[in-house]
Amino acid sequence: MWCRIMIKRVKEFSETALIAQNREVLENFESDMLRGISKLTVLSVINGSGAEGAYGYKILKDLTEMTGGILVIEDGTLYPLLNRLERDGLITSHKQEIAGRSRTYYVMTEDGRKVFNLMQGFFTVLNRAIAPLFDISISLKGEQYIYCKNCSNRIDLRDNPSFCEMCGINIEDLKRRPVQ
Amino acid sequence: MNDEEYGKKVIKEFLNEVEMKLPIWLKGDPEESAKVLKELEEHIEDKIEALEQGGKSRAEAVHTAIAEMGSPAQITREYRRRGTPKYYITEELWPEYLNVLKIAAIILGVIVAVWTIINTIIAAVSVGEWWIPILQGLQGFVLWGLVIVAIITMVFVGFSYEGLLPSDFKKMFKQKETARLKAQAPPKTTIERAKFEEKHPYPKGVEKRSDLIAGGIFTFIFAIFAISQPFTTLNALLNPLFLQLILAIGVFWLLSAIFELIHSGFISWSFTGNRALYPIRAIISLASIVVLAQFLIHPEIFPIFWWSESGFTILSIAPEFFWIYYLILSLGILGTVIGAIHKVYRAAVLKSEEFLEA
Repeated sequence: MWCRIMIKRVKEFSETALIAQNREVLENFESDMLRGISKLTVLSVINGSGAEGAYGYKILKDLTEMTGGILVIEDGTLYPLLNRLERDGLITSHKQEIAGRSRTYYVMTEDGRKVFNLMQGFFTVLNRAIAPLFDISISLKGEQYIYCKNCSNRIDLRDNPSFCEMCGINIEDLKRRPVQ
Repeated sequence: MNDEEYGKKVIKEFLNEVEMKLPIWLKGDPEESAKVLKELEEHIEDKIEALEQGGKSRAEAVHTAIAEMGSPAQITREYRRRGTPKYYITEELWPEYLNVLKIAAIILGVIVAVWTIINTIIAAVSVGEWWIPILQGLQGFVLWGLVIVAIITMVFVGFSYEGLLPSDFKKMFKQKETARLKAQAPPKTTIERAKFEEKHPYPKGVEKRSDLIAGGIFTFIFAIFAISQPFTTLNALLNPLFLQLILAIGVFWLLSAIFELIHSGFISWSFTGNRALYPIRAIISLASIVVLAQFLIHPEIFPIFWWSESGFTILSIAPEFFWIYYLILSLGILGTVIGAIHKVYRAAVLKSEEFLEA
């Protein structure tokens, strides 16, 4: 998954600049990082669009707006990602015709929602864990969610769950032992 | 051409290029590849609409939208990114790779064993050095084994690069099988039959594809034997001219097999392909008569395998039986000529309207 900003702009810098001299390393680094993040953020937009779902162009538009133009996925590479997510059973697609225009809408499946919760739980816990390395702090909405110590799943306490739906651990036990 | 038509043309060209570069697993699934292209088209149209609303002209919007899609190579590369990397072959294909290697090793083992047994028997009854073919067999197994492992590995590396998964092969096979069963479903009434034939026309006067493929494969196998002349112990006992002529006929068989297999790809749909390939195959058949004529001139080189009380020997045909040899070979030459004429006749009577492509 590629991003049009940040390190990808390295070719616009002077050839003598250090950033240009380390172009391959930096581009690979960015590509590696964005691959996972793109999957997570695309799932997040689809999850946010509810039962109606979202079509490709809207997903990219929402992503660009929500990240203030920092995360911009190249148009053509979105569909291979959506295709993979659909094959993995995380999303489904259906055709819808609005004002004579046919569009493919993507909707999160029940399994997809559960896996997405785990993904974002893992991402959040990981970010909080590595934050001190970069002198930044991340605060979690502790009252609304807890993060499973077993599998990092994000559990919404408003649903009054008894067990983590991904690994089955008892929630009461989790509350007594919050994630460090 | 107005802006609307120009836009459609540019989008179509872009989508055609994407389609050409799609990985094999998508090309093998027409429904899925059509869906992929439709999604891209819808996205481009959405983007053009947004750009036009932003004040761009139709032509500008089309070019910007296409440029922002990324290159076709980049898009299709993402579709190839499937499977878990393991060496150069994906983890998903690894068990299949090992299975194919095992089957290839068994087939090679059987071929080399049969070859070794035949050669050992010939060596034992003729020159007495029966152990030499065994050593040659072992050497052949190792060398051919290395070649086969290299070829199979290259094929699987290619499959991994294309993002193929084992499930894709099953899916492709299932689709072909469904299509085959559909095509083979016997029509119940005359009207159904007429409709069936209208939907599945097979041009008159051409061979069946399956016959061509089977013929091509058998001719190829014979050609390989004639060219490689693998029974080395036996070769030492044969007339050198006989071996040279067998090699020459093997080359013609090989050419014939190659063109038969190429022809099988065109047989049912291409008028031009049939018009070109039937005469080429006829010329190859006729050219092989030069070699057959050499056999005809030299009846003394033809071996007769003979087992007597004194042991295994190779004899020549006795002159009083030459007429049998001449008769059989002449019939062979006559058959070749008739076959070649028939091929040219087939090409001449083809009707272009019966083919999908003229």
